[in-house]
Amino acid sequence: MVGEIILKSFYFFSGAFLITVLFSPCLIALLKKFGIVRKDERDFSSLIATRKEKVGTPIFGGIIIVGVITILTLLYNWHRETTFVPLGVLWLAAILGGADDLLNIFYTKERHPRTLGRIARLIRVHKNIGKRMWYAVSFPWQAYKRFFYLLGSHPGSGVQAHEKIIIQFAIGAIVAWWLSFKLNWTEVWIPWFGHVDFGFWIIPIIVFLVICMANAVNITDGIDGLSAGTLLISYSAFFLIALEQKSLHISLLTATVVGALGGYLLFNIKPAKYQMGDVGSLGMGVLLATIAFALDRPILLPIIGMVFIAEILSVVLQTVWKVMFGKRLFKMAPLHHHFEIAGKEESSIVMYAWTFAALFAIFGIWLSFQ
Amino acid sequence: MIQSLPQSAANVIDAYWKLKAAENTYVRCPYFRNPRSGRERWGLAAYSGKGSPEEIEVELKIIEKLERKDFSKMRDTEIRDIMKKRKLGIECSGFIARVLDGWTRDFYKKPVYRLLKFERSGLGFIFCKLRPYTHLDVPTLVHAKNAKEIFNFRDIMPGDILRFNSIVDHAILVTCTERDAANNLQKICYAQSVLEETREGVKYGIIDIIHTNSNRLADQRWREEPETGHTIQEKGEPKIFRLFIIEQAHLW
Repeated sequence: MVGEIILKSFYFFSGAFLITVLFSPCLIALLKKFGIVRKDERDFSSLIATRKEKVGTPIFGGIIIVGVITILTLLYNWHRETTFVPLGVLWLAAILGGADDLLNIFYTKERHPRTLGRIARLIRVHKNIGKRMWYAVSFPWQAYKRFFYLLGSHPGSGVQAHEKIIIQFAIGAIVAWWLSFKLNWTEVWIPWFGHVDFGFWIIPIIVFLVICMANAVNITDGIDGLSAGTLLISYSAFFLIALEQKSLHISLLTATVVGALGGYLLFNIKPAKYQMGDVGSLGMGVLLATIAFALDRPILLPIIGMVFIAEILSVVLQTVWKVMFGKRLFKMAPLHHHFEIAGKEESSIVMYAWTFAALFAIFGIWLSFQ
Repeated sequence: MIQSLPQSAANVIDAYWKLKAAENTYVRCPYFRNPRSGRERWGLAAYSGKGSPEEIEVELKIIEKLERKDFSKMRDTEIRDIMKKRKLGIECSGFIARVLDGWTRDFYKKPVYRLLKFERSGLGFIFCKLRPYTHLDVPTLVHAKNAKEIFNFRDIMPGDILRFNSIVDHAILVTCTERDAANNLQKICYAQSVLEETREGVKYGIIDIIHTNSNRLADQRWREEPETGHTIQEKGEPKIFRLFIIEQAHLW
């Protein structure tokens, strides 16, 4: 059985790798032709000298990973109970990320939320009664928007942080619905302890982890080769776990992802020919969390995805530090930018991240067998 | 006889007066106060008008890169304009707190917020502990638990705070006093970070006691550097407060 899965997985891996490698040059040319390239940004990352070199590099490259996974899974690995929902949430997240990427390039208007005091004043004094009612009804929504703004979300031209969170919440809810109600799965496996029943508390845990991983991978995608390489290591680890569990469809799905990521990485190593963009990073993050749940190993997600967790934690801690103490904890967040500003070479940061990711992935696999 | 603030405090005022923007390029710190509803009120101290000179200098270096400018080739006024646009500066109570902080760290070996009492309770108290400089405002500095009012301006001493709250709520710090041989007050020097039409910033000032019969400071002659056509005298008659931590130090 395992031998058969390995053989099939090899076909999926090779197929995904070859398709990605073959079609990447065409995609790069297309992205350049349509101007889907990194613009000269004047955000905080422009403090790093090497950022300027990335201007003009095509983004949206993640679409090839999402596309290859979709085609191979639909054609040869379609299974309603195992691959349907992972593929569905991958696409939902990819659409969200893709919209963000495209809006950031083609829509230039920034949207700054009004202060709550101003809205409260408008509710009292606006000459149009309809507008006053609208401001009153939409006040909680404005407060929600303002909350994210005050937390430091930059009101760029793309999908805003408060909008992203809602869509990611919906994606997490779909995964939770699938696992809890369709598969009746409410137990979490814990090394040495076995299964612990969380009941319906599993739903918020699933939603949280899906949102967390989507954003973590998205944040990690900031240096050439960093996110793709660490994702490749993490998915490889889950492939081995799937193999050990003799889970055919998840093994094939992860093998496809590893193959696509491998092909993509050939073009993403510094100097990157194209970048993943949110279309790929959000999708890959959501899929990683979904596969961890599908394999009954969500507890290993922070270990196998340690680099992603470290990156998102650095952003959270930086925000907390600023709000609580009025100071920066890191020179810049996420963590890879901190090291860049501290003077580390981009390629050496990536190599360190891959090394740590591999070490923790091995540890995660070992834990999985306990 | 001249009495002045200790060197540790004067150094902080100098640091605000000459913020290092680049090698051999210095800029006078502009005024900035983030409103309570402002986004940066809960961000970095430097952007809420409460930053130390060092914190503001770090932000200046970051702004230089973000704006793709070379501050070493720019004039003081141009750099100040960028700082104003980026909402980087110091407000009046932030300035006083940081100057006093320079002195208390040297004299008491403690930051100023550890020596002053915050009039807050519950969640506000926790935030005062977490972000002390943000909450060291004028009412806290001159609160009855931290300072006492001086009713005769002739008793004024370096370290005293002049509070204006008739037209705007503002405070300035007395940096030196000059008395004649008969101990009559001749001159009061002060430093402040003040908001004017052009968003002014850190200024030095002198009050010459020219009307010895008057009991009002507002009746005396006020001069300020840089000369902007305005003096703090326009803000009305100040009240004088002496911090207990200054009084207890017996500096003069």
